[in-house]
Amino acid sequence: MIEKTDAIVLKSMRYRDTSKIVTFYTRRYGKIKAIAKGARDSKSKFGAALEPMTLSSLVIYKKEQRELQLVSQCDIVKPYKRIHSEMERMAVALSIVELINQLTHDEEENLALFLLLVKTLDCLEKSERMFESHFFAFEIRLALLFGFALHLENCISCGRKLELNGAKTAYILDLSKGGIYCPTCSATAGKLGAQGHSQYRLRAEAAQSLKLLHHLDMDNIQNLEYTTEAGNELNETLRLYLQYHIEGLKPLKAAKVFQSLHV
Amino acid sequence: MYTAESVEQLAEQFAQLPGIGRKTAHRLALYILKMEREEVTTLAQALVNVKDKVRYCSVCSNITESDPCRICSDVKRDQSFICVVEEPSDVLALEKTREFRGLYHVLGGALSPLDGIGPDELRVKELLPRVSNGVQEVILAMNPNVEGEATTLYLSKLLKPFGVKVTRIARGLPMGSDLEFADEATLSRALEGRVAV
Ligand SMILES: [Zn+2]
Ligand SMILES: [Zn+2]
Repeated sequence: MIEKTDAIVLKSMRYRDTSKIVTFYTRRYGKIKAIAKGARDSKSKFGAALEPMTLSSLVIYKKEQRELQLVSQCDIVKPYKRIHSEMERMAVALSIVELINQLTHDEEENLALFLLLVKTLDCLEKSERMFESHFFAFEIRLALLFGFALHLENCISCGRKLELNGAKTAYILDLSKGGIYCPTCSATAGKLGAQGHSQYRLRAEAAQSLKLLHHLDMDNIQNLEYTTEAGNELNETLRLYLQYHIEGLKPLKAAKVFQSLHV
Repeated sequence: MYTAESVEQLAEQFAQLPGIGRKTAHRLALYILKMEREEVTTLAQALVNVKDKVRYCSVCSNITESDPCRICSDVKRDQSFICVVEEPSDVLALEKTREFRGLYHVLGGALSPLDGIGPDELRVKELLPRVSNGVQEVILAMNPNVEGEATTLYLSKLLKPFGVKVTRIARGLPMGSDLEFADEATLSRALEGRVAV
């Protein structure tokens, strides 16, 4: 059957002499792997439509019970040029496509996830600054889609509204419950630290940024300011949070490579 | 299976080569069987020689039998230009154009973040001392894909403090293709890489 769907390219691997095996995250079928014959030939009709972090319109010959489908046609819808030509944007986008590739199984449709992926790349492409925020915002929304949303409005113990201010205050985030304790409950929870290998300490700035990343409209995420230290804290917190809830989640290779570049 | 075990074994070896399917592998194995013993010995020796005699040039990391390689030891080549490529096959392709008379540096791959391949897996360190040695221009000639782009971005930043001119080859339309069939990414890059006529 010939099927048509939009797709974000997650990965593209050399195969045989001139072909590629491409992993797509599609609007209609979720993740799909397909062979694109002759794709590495300079006369290939596919051009750059099979490069990771590209939104393409995909036509495939799809057979049930076949692991590897066949790409019939693939045209670029959005090339995401700035993502492809600036290192910091690329680091974020590659981490996102790697994370999706790791988390999803073949042919499990998830429209919300597809739309989140496209929206995140759109915002990252348009954004002028704070590129890493798009990765954090993506992780937070991913948690929501996978059923372990963060709750950052009220204290998870007493239910009091969280202010998350006071520069010196440290809050406790409970990874298993996906929420934060108010200062009063944090003090108690902190003392109960023995039971808490799922508890993680977060300074006010990081906790506040986490909440804003959660509530801000994705188009406005670039306007959120925080210090490098808070950025590092957010990165670590969200990594631990996803690891806690997703069994077998491996550290991202792309993130590690970009860290090693130091330029 | 009504066939000799040795033929099967040989076919299996052929089938591991790129671009060779089961059928072709079988045909090749049977062809070898029909060849003169002497011819087969020559072939076998050639296979072993590739592994025994070929090594990497200590200057440019291209494959060679003499060290430094023929390009690096050629005094007629312009020592002030270094063209950085991913693989030895890229040197071969560029040499065929007879356009470039400088030296090469072969990285042995490209940065591939999704596969966890970083600069330590490539011959990047070896490039730096060469660049500080009176080189005028470093030309980055990577593949036109995400890995090549990541490598170009990385190397151009890495080389900045050396004060050397760093250029990249133009990413244009492939020859023989029609403008109207070019995708947006290729076409916009072709515009970017335009030169005065
Ligand atoms: Zn409380
Ligand atoms: Zn050499």
